[in-house]
Amino acid sequence: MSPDSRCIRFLLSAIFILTLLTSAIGQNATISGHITDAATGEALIGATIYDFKSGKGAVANNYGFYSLTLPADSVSLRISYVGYQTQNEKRKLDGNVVLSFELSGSAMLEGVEVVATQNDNELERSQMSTIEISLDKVKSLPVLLGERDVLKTIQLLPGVQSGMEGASGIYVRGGGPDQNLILLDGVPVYNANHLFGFFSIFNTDAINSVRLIKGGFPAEYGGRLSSVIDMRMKEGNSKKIHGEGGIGLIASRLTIEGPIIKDKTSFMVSGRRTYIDVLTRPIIRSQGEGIDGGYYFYDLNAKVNHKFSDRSRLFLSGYFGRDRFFVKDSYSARSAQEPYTETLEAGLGWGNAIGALRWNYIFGPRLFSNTTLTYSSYDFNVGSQFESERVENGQTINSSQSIEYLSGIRDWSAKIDFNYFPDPDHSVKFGGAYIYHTFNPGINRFEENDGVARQDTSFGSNRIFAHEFYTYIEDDWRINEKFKVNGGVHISGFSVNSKEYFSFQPRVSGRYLVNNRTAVKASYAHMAQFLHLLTNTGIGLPTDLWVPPTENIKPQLAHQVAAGVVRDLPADFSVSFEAYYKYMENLLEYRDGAGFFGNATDWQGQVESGRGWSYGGELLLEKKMGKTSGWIGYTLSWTNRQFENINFGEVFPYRYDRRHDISLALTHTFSERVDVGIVWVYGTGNAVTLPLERYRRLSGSGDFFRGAEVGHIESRNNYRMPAYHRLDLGVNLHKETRYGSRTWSFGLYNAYSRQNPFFLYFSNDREGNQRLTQVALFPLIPSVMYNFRF
Amino acid sequence: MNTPTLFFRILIASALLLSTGACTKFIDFEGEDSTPRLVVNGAFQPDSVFEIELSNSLGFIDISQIQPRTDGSVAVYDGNGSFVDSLTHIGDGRYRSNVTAAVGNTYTVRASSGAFGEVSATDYIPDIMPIDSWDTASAASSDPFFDNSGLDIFFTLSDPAGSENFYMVEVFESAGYYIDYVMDPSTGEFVQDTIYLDFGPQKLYLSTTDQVLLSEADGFADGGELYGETFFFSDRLFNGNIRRFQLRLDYYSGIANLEIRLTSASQSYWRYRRTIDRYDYSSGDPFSEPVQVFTNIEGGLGIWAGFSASSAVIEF
Repeated sequence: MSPDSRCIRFLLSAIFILTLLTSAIGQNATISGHITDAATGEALIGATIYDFKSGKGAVANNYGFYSLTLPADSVSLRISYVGYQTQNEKRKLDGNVVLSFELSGSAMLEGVEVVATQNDNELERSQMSTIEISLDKVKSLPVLLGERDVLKTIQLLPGVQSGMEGASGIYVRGGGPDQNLILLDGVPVYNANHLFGFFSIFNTDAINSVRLIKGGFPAEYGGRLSSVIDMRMKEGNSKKIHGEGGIGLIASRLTIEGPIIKDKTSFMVSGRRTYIDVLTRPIIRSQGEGIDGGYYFYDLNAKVNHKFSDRSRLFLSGYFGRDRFFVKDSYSARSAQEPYTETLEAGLGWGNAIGALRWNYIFGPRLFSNTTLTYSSYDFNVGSQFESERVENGQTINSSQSIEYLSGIRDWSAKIDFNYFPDPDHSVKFGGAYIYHTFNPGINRFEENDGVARQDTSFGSNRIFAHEFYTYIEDDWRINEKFKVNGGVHISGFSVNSKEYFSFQPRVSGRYLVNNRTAVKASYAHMAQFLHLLTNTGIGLPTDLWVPPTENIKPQLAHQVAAGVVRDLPADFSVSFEAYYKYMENLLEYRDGAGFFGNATDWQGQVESGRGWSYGGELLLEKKMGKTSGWIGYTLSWTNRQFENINFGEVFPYRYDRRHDISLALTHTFSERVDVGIVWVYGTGNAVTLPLERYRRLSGSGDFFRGAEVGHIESRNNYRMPAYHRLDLGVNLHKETRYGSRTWSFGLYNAYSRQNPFFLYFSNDREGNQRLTQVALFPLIPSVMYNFRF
Repeated sequence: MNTPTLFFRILIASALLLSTGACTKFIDFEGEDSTPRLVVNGAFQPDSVFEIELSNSLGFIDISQIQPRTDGSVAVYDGNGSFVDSLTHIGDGRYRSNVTAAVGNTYTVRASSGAFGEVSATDYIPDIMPIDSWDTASAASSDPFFDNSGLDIFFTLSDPAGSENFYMVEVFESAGYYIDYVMDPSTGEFVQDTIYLDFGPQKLYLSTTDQVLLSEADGFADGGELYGETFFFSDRLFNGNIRRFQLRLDYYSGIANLEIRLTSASQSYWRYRRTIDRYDYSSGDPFSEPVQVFTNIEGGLGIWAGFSASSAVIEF
């Protein structure tokens, strides 16, 4: 029996058993429905519904759906969500009922106290190492060049480290940049970077919710070792047409959303484009006749959804983004007898295309389903084209040459997920997926036309096709008022070139409520990652290449245990501390001397497979409500790697081993018109490899290098860059306008102009002395952005 | 312009664009104060006298010249710790003994100089591994310019069972001849004559598709083919077996003798030569991973290692 058919049988059996269970529970009644934003109709993911009489509650899922089964009696319900006015409802329950709630945001209700519930959720849920990112924070904290960036806000959280100066790559609990499952509407994103990693591809205006999971992974997630960043795009305002946008120094963006059929069909379209090329082109063109060039990137997010009924809803969402760098040089010889022109054009481009067609269907008040077809592709190409035209003996002769390198990955997938709520003490999730991967690890294409003959050649790696599947089941089980456990299993398999890999991944996390303000949590998760990312720069270059496992290069595996405590403090403060240990196998690292851009067919010869481990503690002091809100995060961690043939088999620190990492992110609202944001970060310097000594090498007979020297490197990553720290300041000035509202955002990135190291190299000073030289990218950079809403 | 070159150019242009606001400054280097260490370099082979070079290391950014240590005290001991010989300074930091090394023996070197404490290292000379047989065949060159001027060289090696062995193979072009018309100075007429070439052994650039050699490659392979002057391999995949290896010369003139040199190396010598090879290969490439050169000198730096070599000459 094939893995796919096993998977389908498993799911059908599960549905059958659950249907029987549902029919067996007769004396209870189920309240189910959606919890949405009253103003926009957007799902309030994670909103809670709680019955005071029974002490039972439920949480809305990613589509705002909840299901709460209670004894058929009178109920007293509280429906709440952070930043929204809490609703209370009393009613007699004598049968299953569909109840949908629309909560009003705080901004709409002047003088109404809004109850904070987020901390309650933190205490309540069994899951740990999970942080819901506030998009308000993303929008109000100062950032580089004023470009709001979800990933850069995530970098400010404990356990998450940034890579290089200004880059949006993230490194979670000692993991690599490839070990983050970044999901946009449930679809994996393979390269989340614009402009060599200085900006992420996510347009904040198009995002509805962001959740970061660093450990204790629920069984529904898999395929990466270190983190899950689950982002959901806005569904589109189902009540009225609404728009927002911004005009910044390097880019502008615009989002429009609204109903097509009120409360039934809505859409959201969001676009962003840089205009660095427009601003710099005159300067480039002034360098000489025929010279042109530039760089730009753009993003386009779109989503449309239609509600067929209270039980059936369809979503179609897509993302398309691209970076493009181009140069052009042309030359003309204006000889009357033999005119000649030539043009050289070169460029590189990369981008993602993502699509998801999703159908929510509610089988019954306790069974919610989500069926999805997805497409995700990432491609990179670099190429040049040379064209010339000359006249010989009165005849025009055209010739051309072009060379192009293409690489990328493309996925088609189908998946089905179920949420089953048999009673208030259990919330079961199960499902499965099949993914068809196409890897393009590097094809060179050469085309030549010399005016007489035409040649078209392709060479390089062949495409690789692979099949991946997974199935999972998990139960969030409230054992009693104190204990809650989430246990499950994720089973996955991968088949490529007649080689098959399977993985059985148990997951468990639990919570013990010490009192109504304190919870203790612990978790264990086994993760498997079939895909490897080839990158030896670590800065998120578009050349980074996704490759499948092979006979010799096995899937990456990780085991992570974590334990922690969460406590609510007075004055809306909360504090959490987590300690973790993560062990990883089959990690890839480039061998000594491995080149930067080798032919992809030979990548296996350039890498070594080995192990790594990371352990540490993370402290988060947070204040979510009030005029002053934000957090202070501190991480103390150790991350090491060990490979048989690197560093002579000895343990060495990971490049992003960071002993201390501190982040301060605060906003303060002075009035409805003015708020300020402050970010301060400090991190131990990255580990790099530098020679500390030089000495003469062995010279033998005929040795060309007689008397030559070598630089002695004691260990890989033996040298620490100077520590990284930076202060960013921002102020937002809001004003109501005729059309809606506007916000001027002023920012100072790196306010005290700290020269943070980007890379180090040796060079000579004026006296001829050799010195260690540091390159820093960003001094103090002011920014201004005009934002508007209507 | 090939694709990587083009990419690099674009990348550099991008980096320049990005770094318009970049700041560069000299920073303190912790290696500036690194304490110099005694450096011992010596490789020994059967029937050759022991010879080492003694010097000291300097901090990486120290621009002064590395000086040979001429005041050193160097002695060699055998595997039982018995004194073998004391080495005498023969100039320029080079020390030589009067005793020759023997196959299969282990030797320890102990050296000191001035304020440097004693450093030591121990290694052995592995057995000589003869080339059992060889043959050649003409081959197509990978470079179309050379047409069918390539040459495949095959050699067979019997690996002893039960031990871990390390090998290096190289091909040298040494001497040869060709027949040409030359002017007879006495008559002024052109006559056929044999022209002998004697230019000393020159190491040739090789390629191979041999799977054992490829599997041991350090990543300098391209399209399933390995390139280099020295191929390093172990008996990991053919321990105790007889195996035939393939090497290719992309261009062979057919007028010179070829020498296949097979080195049976101790693990230390093999690791040292391999890492030095890699170090040279990646030198100057800012994007490549830095290379650690192997050292086995306790308390110091350098190498003390044994090897034995065998060769087969292909005469034309």
